[in-house]
Parts: sequence; structure tokens; C-alpha cells
Amino acid sequence: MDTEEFKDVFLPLGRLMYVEAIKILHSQADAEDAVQDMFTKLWEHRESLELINNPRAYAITMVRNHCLNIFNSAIHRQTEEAEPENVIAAVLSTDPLYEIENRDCIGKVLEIIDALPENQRKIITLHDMEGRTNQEIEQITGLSSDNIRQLLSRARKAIRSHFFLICKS
Amino acid sequence: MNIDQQKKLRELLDRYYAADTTADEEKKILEMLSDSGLPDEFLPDREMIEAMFAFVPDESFETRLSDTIDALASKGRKGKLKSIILRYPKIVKCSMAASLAALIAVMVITRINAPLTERTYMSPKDTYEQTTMALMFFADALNKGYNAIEIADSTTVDATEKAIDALATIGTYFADY
Repeated sequence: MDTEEFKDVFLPLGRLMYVEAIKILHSQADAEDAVQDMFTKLWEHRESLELINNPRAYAITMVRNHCLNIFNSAIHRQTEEAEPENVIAAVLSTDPLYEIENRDCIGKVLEIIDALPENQRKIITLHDMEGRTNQEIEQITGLSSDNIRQLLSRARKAIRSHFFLICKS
Repeated sequence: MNIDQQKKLRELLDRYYAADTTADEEKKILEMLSDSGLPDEFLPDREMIEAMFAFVPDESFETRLSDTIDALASKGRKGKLKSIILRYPKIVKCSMAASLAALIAVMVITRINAPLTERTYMSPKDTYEQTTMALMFFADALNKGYNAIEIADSTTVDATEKAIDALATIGTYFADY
């Protein structure tokens, strides 16, 4: 697989890989690093990639496993290091205060999204997480543009109300 | 943040929750929410929307991925050449010798085909000096090529010796058991 072929196949998957990474790591910087690492790994194995039938599934599984390894290592360090400050320092990369708050919020939003009704969850995942256009979502789901907007609106409002409740409690 | 800006932000947020904003308007919301003078009433919106936007990678993300691939590709090309030199030193030596011979042949043919006046010297002394100089240039070039081959050769030998040592250590380890 040459450079252009590799880019054609895997670059469009970068965003999906990133979403998968952030779902596990809850940090933009760590998710971007994880995807960069996976691209390096994919490039190193590009000779054998031609044999893979579904590059999308392969790349997403790869990044998921990599992120789970990172996450498990952080948990392992957490149990080894008694001091809570050390745990936080080990898990976080830069700007600890912002990272802690941001990680918490990403985690909360993800929990709320998981609890949404199926149709709302699907639309918000496609639109706000995977960054697909309304036209693409119409093609994927078969829903009309108005329906998509309505479901997206309901999903965003539901996230807001649940998020505000969590914040108050 | 003044009253007008707050009104504008509230209006944009209402439209965001109604799924009625463009990508540019959503960027504007994010920008307004990051204002240091943001009133407390908007703080939960800020936390939530910043978390929602965390699912969108940085604008330069794809470019950086593409650059990473380009860097890996160019690194791979250099590495490939190096590994060919180390793996097939005899072939490389033969290729270099053949190239050198071809180059000399071309030079000689060019000189032979040149007009007679260009390769004629006034005296035997001039001829001797020119020949000596040409031979010195040739010897120097040959020496440089030979040194490069020596370096490549010694690197291969070192790597082979290290591999043999490692295998011997492994052999000893298993023999002990």
C-alpha cells in the first residue's frame, strides 16, 4: 500500500478513531495522541493491510484496544501509588485543573448520551460526535431533514437538563 | 461581557439547543463562552458545550495526521536504502564498480571523440603534468568510494557478530536447562 492509497483509506477514518479514543480517555489531547500513535502503527503494518476486508472496523478496534490499554495502565498506576495527587498527575498530561474539570464534563456528557432514547442517541452521535452533515445523516438513517433537526434538538436539550441537574447535585 | 453580548449569547444558545445553528455560529458560541468575564448563569452551558465540542478534533488534526504519514513515508525511503546497502553489500559493491567503470568509459569516449586540438598538448612535459593530475583525481575519487564500501562492510560485519553473540547467549541459556 503506497502513501496516497494509505491516506485515501485511513485519513477519512481519523475522526471516527478520535471519537472512539475520546469516549475512553475523556481528553482531547490524549485522544489525538492515541490516534497519531495508531496511524504510526498502521503505517508500519501497511504491507499486510491490503488483506484486511474492513479497514474501518480494523482501525476502530485497534484504537479502542490501544485506549483501553492506556486507561488500564492509568488504573494500575492508581492502585500502585497511594497518594491521590500522584494518581491525578499520572493520568493527566498538561494543565491539570482544566483537564480534571474537562474530563469530568466529557464523562458526564457521555453518560447522558448513553442513556438517551435510541433515535436521539443515534442522531447526536452522527451529528455532534462523528461530524456528519445533515445530508449524510439523511442517507444513513432515511429520516427527513426536519426529523433529524427535531431529534438533535431534543437530544441537546435532554443533555442540557440532565447535565445541569448533575452539576447542581 | 456587556448586556448586548449576553443577549446575543443567550439567543445563539437557544438556537443551538433548537439545532438551528450553523458551524460558524457554533464556533462563535464557543468563543463567547470562553470569555473571562462570562456571567455565572452561563457557566453550566459553558461546561456542557465545551464537553460537547471536545468530540470535535482540532481543525488542524487531519493535516497533522497527513503530515505524520508523509514523515513516516520519507523516513521509510531512507531506511529502505540503508537496509539494502547493509543486506546486500556485494551487490552494492558490484553496482558501484560498474557505475564507476561506465563513468570512466563515458569520459574516455568523450575525450576520444573530441576535436584533435582539444587533446593535444604543446610539449611532452604538459602532457605528463595533465596525465598526473587526471590520475590523482581518479585515485582520490576511487579512494573515497572504497572508504564508503569499507564502512558499509564493517557495519554489516558488526551487526552479524552481534547477532551471532545473541544467538550464542540464547543457546547457552537453553543448554543450562
